[in-house]
Amino acid sequence: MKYPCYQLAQGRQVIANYKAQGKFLKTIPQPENRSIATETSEVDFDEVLRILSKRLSVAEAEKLRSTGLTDDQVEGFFAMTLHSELSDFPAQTLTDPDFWRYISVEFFRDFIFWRDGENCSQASFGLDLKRRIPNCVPLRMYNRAHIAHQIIKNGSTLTLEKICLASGADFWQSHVFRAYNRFDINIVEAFVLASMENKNDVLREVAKTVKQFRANYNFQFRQKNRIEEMIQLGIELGNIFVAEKKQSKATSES
Amino acid sequence: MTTSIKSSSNFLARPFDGIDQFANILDTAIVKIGSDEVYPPGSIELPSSQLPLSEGQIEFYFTKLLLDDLDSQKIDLKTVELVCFIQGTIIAESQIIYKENLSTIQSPVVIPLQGNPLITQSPNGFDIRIALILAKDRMGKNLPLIEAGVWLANVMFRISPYSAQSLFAAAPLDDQLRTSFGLPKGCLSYIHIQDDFLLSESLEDQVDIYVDVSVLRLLQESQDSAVANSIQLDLATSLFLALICKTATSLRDENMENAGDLEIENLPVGKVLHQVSVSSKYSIDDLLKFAANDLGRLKAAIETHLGSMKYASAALREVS
Repeated sequence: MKYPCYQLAQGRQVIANYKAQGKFLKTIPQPENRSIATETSEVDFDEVLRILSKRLSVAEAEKLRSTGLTDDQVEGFFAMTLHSELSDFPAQTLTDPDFWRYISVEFFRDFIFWRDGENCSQASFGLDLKRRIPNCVPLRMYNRAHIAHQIIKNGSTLTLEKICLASGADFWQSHVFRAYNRFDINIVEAFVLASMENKNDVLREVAKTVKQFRANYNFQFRQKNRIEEMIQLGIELGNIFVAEKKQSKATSES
Repeated sequence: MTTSIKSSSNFLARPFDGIDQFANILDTAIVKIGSDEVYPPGSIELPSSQLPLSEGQIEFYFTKLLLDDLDSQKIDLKTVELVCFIQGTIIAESQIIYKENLSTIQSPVVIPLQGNPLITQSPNGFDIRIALILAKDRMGKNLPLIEAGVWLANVMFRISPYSAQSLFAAAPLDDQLRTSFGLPKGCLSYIHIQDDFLLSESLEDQVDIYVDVSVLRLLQESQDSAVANSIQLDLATSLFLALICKTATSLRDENMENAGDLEIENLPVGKVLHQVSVSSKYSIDDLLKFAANDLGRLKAAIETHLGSMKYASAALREVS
């Protein structure tokens, strides 16, 4: 079986063509069909993605927004749908950065522009040259729901929706995906719980504290109560930080 | 027990005195791919045709030294685990594929690289981490507590498709290497360029970047953060600077400064010079002159080529 892909240059060409409304380029790149090394059952990738892209359209996003969800919560909500539709795809397909580039560019382009803005960087489509991991919008959505599923499988009482809609993009990007926390579901669960009662400034201190501990400890071998203490310590430090910030603002105003 | 740590505490502060004696204990671990490819810890770049990896294994030989070191720290073998994790680069998945207590372990340890396909089947490669971890608290009369979960040692292998951007992967710099290179203790990084680099076919085997072992570990752990990107970019800038300066020196020493003597653009280092020249609009001759008399300008040219401004801004935004 084969699956469709765009390499970096092809993906960039498609976006450039789109932005120039077709005037810029004479040729439209064709996706490359890549063979799957192991035996898997047949999947009609484009058909699944075509239907999915309708469910994750800008119109649907606007509808959700009108119910009072923030843009990030819309992304979290869509993440559940995206994950449930794609999780049966072959492992090689799901772990190929060029596949994520292909679906970003071909099927979720409008949603990505809606979510990250018309002038968003190439990274939103996984087309940033410097990053080893193409953390494009659909991939970050998939991982958000993937981690949420793992947290639930691990016995959490939180619901999928509660986890996926928790906190903001900054939280998922900075404290989960780009940090090693993405491999520690206990830590992400603790973050999600902390995010329900604390603001971003406090969460940032929690993340810093976790990072400091991580330099010396593997959390899978650390007792649960110590992990709770660590998170609590981060919250306390965060509260001190917020109080100091307030005080210095009041001092400068007076 | 409450652990005392302040937000301002040093990231590199180690949890107990003497832990550093374990730091290099896993450095002899290797990854074997096929029958004849052997890789030490660090970056393993493979041609795309070799990924996803169809077979491979980790091998590690225990020495008695490790057991003696643990004994000297009054750490019971039964409380230490050798653990091998594999971690996905695309999907957020991690799996322990090997875990064995040191009291029952047999040397050599051979671990087949098999596991969750969402990790191992990736054409983007995956990461392997081998660690010695204290699984239970060390307690005892007159002994300070060492909490469970402490890494005693850990090494990482990063399997990825070959790419020109990652040609120069950093290697760990420890005190032994500092001594052998005659470097001051406490230096952060070192770029070593072989003397005969100029006429070599490829720069890959001629240039080594070393970064302090602890800093490198932290860098690997936050590989995709803006701060880590910025640090890596700094290293890349230093590397380009060192390469161009050494090129200028070598050309002068060999009396090959005139273009007629050597078509520099055809050399591997010439490609680097050409790229910097195109980005900065300085000629190659200018860049080589700056290497001798205006390093600040040369650095500015390299930064322009590498797009440093964007990454420094992102890093500052991330920490602010």
